[in-house]
Amino acid sequence: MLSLKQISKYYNTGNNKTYVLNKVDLDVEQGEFVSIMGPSGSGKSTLLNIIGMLDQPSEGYMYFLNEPVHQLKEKQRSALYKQNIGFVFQAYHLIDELTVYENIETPLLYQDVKSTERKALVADALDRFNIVGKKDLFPAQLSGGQQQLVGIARALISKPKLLLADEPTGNLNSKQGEEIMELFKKLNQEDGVTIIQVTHSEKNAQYGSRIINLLDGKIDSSIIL
Amino acid sequence: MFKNYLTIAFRSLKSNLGFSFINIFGLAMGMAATILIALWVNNEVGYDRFHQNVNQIYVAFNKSLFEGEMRIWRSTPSPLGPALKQEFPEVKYAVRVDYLAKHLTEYQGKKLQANGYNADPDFFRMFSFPLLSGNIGSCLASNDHLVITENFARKLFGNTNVVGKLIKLDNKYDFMIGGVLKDMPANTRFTADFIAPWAFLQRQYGPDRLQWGNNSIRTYVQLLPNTNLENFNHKISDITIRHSNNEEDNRVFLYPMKDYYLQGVFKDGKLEGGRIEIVRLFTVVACFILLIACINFMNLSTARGDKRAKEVGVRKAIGALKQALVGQFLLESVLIAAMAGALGLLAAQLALPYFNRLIQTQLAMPYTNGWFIAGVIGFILITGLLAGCYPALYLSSFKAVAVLKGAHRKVSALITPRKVLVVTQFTFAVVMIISTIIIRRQIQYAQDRDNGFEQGSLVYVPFSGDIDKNKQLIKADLLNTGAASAVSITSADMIVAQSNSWDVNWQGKPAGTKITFDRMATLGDFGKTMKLKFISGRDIDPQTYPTDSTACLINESAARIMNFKQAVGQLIDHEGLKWHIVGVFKDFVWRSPFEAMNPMLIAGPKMDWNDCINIRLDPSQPISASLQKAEAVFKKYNPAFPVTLSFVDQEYQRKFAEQQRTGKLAGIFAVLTILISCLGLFGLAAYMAASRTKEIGVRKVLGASVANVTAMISKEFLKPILLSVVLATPIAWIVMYRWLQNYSYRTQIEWWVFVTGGLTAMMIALLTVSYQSVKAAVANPVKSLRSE
Repeated sequence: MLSLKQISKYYNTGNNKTYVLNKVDLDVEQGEFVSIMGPSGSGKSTLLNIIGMLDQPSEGYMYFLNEPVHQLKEKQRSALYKQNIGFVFQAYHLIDELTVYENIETPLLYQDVKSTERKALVADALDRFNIVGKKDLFPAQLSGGQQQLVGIARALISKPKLLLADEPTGNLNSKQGEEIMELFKKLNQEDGVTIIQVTHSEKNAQYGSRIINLLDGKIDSSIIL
Repeated sequence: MFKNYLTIAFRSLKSNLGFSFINIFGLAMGMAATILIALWVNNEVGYDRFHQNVNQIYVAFNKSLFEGEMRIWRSTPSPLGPALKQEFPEVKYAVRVDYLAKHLTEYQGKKLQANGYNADPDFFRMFSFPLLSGNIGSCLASNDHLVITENFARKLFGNTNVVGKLIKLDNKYDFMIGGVLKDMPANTRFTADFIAPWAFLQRQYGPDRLQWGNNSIRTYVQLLPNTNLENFNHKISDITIRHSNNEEDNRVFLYPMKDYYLQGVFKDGKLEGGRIEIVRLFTVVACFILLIACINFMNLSTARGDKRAKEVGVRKAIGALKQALVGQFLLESVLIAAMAGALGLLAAQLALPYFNRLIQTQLAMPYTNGWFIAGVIGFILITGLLAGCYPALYLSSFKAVAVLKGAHRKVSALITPRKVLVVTQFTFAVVMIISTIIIRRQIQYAQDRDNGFEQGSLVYVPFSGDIDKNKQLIKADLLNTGAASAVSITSADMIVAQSNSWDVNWQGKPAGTKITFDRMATLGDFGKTMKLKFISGRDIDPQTYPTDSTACLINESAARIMNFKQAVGQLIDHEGLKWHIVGVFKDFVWRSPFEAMNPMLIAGPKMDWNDCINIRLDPSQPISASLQKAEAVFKKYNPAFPVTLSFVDQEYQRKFAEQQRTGKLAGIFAVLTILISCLGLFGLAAYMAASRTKEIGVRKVLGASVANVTAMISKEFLKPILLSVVLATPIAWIVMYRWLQNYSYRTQIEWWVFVTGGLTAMMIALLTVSYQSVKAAVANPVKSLRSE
């Protein structure tokens, strides 16, 4: 499903290049649940952002669903991304001015989904994540766990094949974190959503099917659980 | 999608009420000013262009060389119109119109003063002034039919159904109402209460004399469609020369009616512009005011950028393309422009009566006019897009990754493009301030000009009814009753330079020179009544000197041109008579106080042109008592007419009206620009103070005093303002230098004006910023640092 070949990301600092990612090769199959781990500054988030097409590599090739992402124009890349990738952030990143309902609905707007279909999809999602009662509240009125739930609902609303999560439980207490991880596991096993998450927590990493350890921009180890 | 954008736009407006207010209010003020100016420009541009045949209507002009200078003027000889019509088949209509004259009208004992023109019968066929009732064909064709306006009919008769009714003019002439005109629009040169047939002039003054040398009326010509103007002008060029058997040398040409109003000023034979200049100037001003308001919007929107940055990042992360975000932000700015537009329209409506009084028009908002509605909508769209394009591009270009990581923290201080915008705003504001000062100084300069005669306690009465017959009795009575200390009967009043002539010859005048003299005639006591300053000789005084019947006075300029060793005693040929100079007086202002003085000739009693009584009220008496006595005298000798005494000093002040209007408008727009600019600056300062809270906190912990911090923030804002002053100085100088060239009597542009203008702008800017900078500086650092 996803194939990274010799992906590098560097910044020019004076005459030197500072590598954040250094010639990373990575393949992820459909249905996997990958956890990326590593110390601060090892390049975890950068790798995730490149996979999620939010950032572009300095060098290397990336194939997603057999499309050469490095060759696509912004429009095509965006189309590929919109339909197939959902993103969950550590800080939730909900739009403060929109209600829960509207936040979940927004991705559909960018995919030109018809109004009636939108309503059905959002209603489904609210139902599924048990937040129907909160649909008219604004993000500031929710707890962290609830906000992340909305973030996940939003990421999943367009039925992506790949869900990317950047420390999804980083801002949550342990109980809330556990709930989110259980949810991820369920999504992966029951709905077949491929998941790649970045995490600091050994415990959370155990929910997945594979752990990749990054160190200084390189893959240090890849352990299948 | 659209709904989602609207929702977020409204919510973000609501959550930032302060900024929203500054944005909307500033934009609304700019839009209101622009709407008012647009209304005025539309009115000016439509001036006398609403006539159906306007493209075939022309005005006849004269041109002739005067001492090497080609002069062009629009008064023409009376036989010109009929001759053109008779001799050239291309001429469909030729219409003569004379000057607006005051008449006394009377219907069943009710008397009203009214203004009217005399015109040829084809007037109503040429110009589009529709009739309410009556028949166009017969309107001016009969010698005793009068066409009156709807408004005047109401005033005199109480209703408009008056065709066929009889009225009396000037207590003497019977007329029948031949037609009632729908009220004329305000933007026409033919505004009057009535139009009388051309033949009325003959009833008043006897048969037309075919004088090709007397240029005193306007001639309008309508040509057949498809007539080539250039060829036609070539053909008619020598018509005056031919008919006057080479006595006159004026060439005639036709000038398009549609350009006449806006572009009617010629200098040395070439078109120099005219009204169009002031229209252009204010159009530019309107555009700039709008731009300044838009700049506020841009500055505040981008300054607030990192508040919106997260939203941009999230939207990009869930699939929004840049275009979609640009669209969203543009929609927001159009929405704000729509609110500002509504508010601006309201403000413009409220300010309209004041604006109308100021510029003496009767503009109205044509709410039901489709073009107006389309114009307002288009205006809002353009404003929204103009104000929104830069913020939209700026905000939508945020990188999702950077924003979401929280690395997006760079938009703190004034960054370069925003500085450029502030500089633009204040440059314009400073130009406006400096211009206002210079315009006011120019008006003051002309008002302080020595006008050469004493205006206070000088009144005049134009002739009407029996005044001419009784003029000597009136004069005697005015003096005897003690109302006046001096009285002079003249051919014209001291306000309107009503006559000039180049038929002035003297011994030693170089052959072939053609010099125009302003001229007036008097029955005597002219210098005494006006309190002229004599350089040599004495006043015309036929009582003491019987030969003064052919005496004349000349002014200093004339004496200089005539170049006599001793002017008094020399002879002047004028109007077929020999006049001997008895006095030379210091030039007095008869034309505009902004113009150079012309040579002038005051001819003695033999000329016998009498049309005005000038009265020097006795200075030892209270004015009201003198006026009462004077009024009684006129009542006695001219009982049928109301007494109209005009004060020369009051009338003289009207000569400044145009410039005062320009000055007031410039002042208002200067205040408006500085207000809008400061509104933006205030918002910007507020934002900057807020975003630098932490920095200020750290500085204070490290020992900075309140004064240090205040100075630091203020300095940052003063730098661009200082740059604006530097930029504005040459611009203001060029604009004002060019404006002053319109006046031959003009003030100097002095350096301190620029210093004053610059300092004013800087002081205002400093005050605006200081509230925010002091507020930021006195804040408790412990609080601000903890919040991080």
